[in-house]
Amino acid sequence: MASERELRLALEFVSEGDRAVIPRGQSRETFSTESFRAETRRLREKARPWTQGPGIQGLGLGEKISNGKVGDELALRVYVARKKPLSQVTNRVPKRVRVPELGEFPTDVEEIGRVEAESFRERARPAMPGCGLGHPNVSVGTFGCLVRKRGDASRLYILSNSHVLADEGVAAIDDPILQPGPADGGGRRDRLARLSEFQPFTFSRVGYVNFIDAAIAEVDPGRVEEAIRILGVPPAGKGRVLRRGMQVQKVGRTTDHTVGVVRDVNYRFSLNYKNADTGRRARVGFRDQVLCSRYTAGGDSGSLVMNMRGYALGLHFAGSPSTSVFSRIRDVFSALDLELA
Amino acid sequence: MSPMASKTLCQKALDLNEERLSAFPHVVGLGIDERGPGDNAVAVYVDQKLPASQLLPDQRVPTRLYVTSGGARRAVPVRVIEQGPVTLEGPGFEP
Repeated sequence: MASERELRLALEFVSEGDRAVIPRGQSRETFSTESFRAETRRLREKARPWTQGPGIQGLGLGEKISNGKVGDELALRVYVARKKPLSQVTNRVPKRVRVPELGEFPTDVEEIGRVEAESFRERARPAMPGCGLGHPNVSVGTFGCLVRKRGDASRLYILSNSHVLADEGVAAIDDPILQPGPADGGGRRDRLARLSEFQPFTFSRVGYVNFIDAAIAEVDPGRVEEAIRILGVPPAGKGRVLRRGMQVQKVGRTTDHTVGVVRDVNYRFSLNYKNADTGRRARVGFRDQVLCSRYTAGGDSGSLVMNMRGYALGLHFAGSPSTSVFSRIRDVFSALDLELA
Repeated sequence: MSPMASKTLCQKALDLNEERLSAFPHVVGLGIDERGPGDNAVAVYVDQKLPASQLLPDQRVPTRLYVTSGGARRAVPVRVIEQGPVTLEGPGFEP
């Protein structure tokens, strides 16, 4: 059976041919002769249909999977968008591939769907939860999810943070919401929604009286889809249980799909927000927040936080180099009188 | 040895001492550190944890808080946890 080192080298020759990078410690005499270089160049050209052809999504190494079982034997892995009956495949992957000087190696074909750049900083129509957006005066945040006012099926809204959609509460109702957000190049032509409502902050020198940093923007149903980016499904519902040690997930504009662990469900802290009355930043204290391990970055503000079964738990809005903080969805929904769309 | 405290007792200690605890230098947040049954403490989150020797006596976060519960005076442990500076998470908000 071939060792992982031999297979790595075989993979290098199959994909790079005579331009292969020979790792240190390998016999350079064997691999640098003119005849060997010619042979590996032919190998690469011959393999091209099944290494770079239509439907091929990449190459790698892995334990060979047969009849759904992962075996012990390492194989050259060929990733494809979709497995088709052999009769319909024009660029078949050979069962085994011969590499000069190294021998024969088994191959394995795995279906992984189409691999695409995860560009959530770009314009998306329809736009979907997890992509970037923002008020013209704001850099950028994340489209959390679609919601409705309780008992009113006639209008649809995007839920995110006040500091994403409402410029921390100093924006005017009906202001445009841009997708992509201004930091990602969004401008006048990228209007997606209009600011409808935000929860005003209570400023105080001491104490923690605020619960949420949230706002909604009305959107035309034809311009959005409800399925969350990457996950491909909308939130499953509202989650009830929130416990220290549990895992949570989110899809955000900057760090895509990531998982964190809840560390404190009684977290209270303060941040400085714009105060429209004084024109200066002032202290806003939050209570009943949820402190998690770090799983977000700047630009993920407004992401919907869910449990691992996809039930909504909160709205992400702040973080430190070692932590991420979200507000409870219960408090967001009751303050703004919302339900999931 | 550290005193044992229930979550309810920690919650009470937190509510009663919120203002005082948040006034200590470097404090960025407060909460409850639950590590297991009975092993709870009031959590004081700081942007930077400093050795006691670098702080004046009145700048040191107390290691215990006292609350009255069921007529008895009970001690609640306090744990200082380094969190770093907290900011909003739009890319324009760097710590």
